[in-house]
Amino acid sequence: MINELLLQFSEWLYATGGSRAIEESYYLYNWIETTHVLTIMICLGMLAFIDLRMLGYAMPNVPASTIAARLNVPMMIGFAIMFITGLLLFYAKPVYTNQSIWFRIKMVLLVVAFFNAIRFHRHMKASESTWSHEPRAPLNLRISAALSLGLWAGVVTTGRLIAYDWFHCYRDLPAWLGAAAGCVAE
Amino acid sequence: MELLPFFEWAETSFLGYIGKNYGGVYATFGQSVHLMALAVLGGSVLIADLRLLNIILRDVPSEVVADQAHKWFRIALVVILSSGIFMAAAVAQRMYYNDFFWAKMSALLVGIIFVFAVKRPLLKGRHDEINPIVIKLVAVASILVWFSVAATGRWIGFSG
Amino acid sequence: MTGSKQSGTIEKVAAVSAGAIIISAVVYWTIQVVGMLEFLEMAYG
Repeated sequence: MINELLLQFSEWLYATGGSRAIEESYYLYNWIETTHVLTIMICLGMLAFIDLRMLGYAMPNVPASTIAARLNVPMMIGFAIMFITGLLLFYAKPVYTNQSIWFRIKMVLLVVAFFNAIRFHRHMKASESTWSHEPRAPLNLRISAALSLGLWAGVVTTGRLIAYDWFHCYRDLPAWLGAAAGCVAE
Repeated sequence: MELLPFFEWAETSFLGYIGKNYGGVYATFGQSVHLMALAVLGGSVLIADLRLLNIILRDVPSEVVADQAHKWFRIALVVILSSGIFMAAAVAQRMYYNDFFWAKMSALLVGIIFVFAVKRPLLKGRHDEINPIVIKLVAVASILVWFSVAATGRWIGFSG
Repeated sequence: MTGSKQSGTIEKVAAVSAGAIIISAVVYWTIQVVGMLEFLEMAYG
């Protein structure tokens, strides 16, 4: 049911003029993709340094709260650019992307990363004054930081794999995988 | 110097064989690891250079930021070069005829020389003894060169 | 003072090489953008 609805929505999106214009433009599509990928440097670059600081591997002599607060701004700017270009990429290829198992895993990982970030911030705000100058954050924050690095590594990997159609609906897939990838019986 | 034989050899080498015949290994250990290293490399470049431009982390000494960022820059560089060599080996002959590949290699070479022969020696001592305009020029050049390496790298795939 | 003389040399090298990189990058990307616009003009008029 949900897969039918998502497919209908994707097909409707595919039929819009803007979607066709982006996908059919070599330069437009590829520059949106390039921006999406290059923003990894801003968004995930800052994220990696915040997480590495919590784990004690980067800038241990700079207060953790300073790193987290200062790098948060460029990270969110990068995230905004990534989010917008990501939406445009989906808009350009909605039917293909909706039925990509990698895209679907990527979305799940993003949701988990979102809740992990909220948990991280809550614990950080509650306790930072007591340990900010220590080289490593307390264990529960280190767990969040390690989880964040792992989740975003997963987001990058599954994001890259969207380009590959190894498990697409026109392949011979087991029923559970077909359902997970959003395939709909004709 | 004729380079084509080297690219032909690279494709038949063990690395080239793995990358060519195992798409999953190529996409994950090649492309995805390359992108993860790009996050750390780009982050270290931007943190150091935006600090030198007085845009972020103004309350932390720029010497500390530049030194610490450089540690991770070196690690990321090793990872990104290794995964890059693996990817290039698998499609070496196509790379030989790809303009963006050569643009990227040139920018990469310039970037590496600039970092290790110019930027690091310049920033070794106290930064307040260096002409602030030179520091800002170096920071802008560094951001531009690594942005160019990444962007031309992405376009290798589009112009295949 | 040898110290300041040495730092003067590296500063000059840094300024010249950074300037060269900035100019090359601007020229390279300008050529790319102009090439792209010419292509689009040919394709779509």
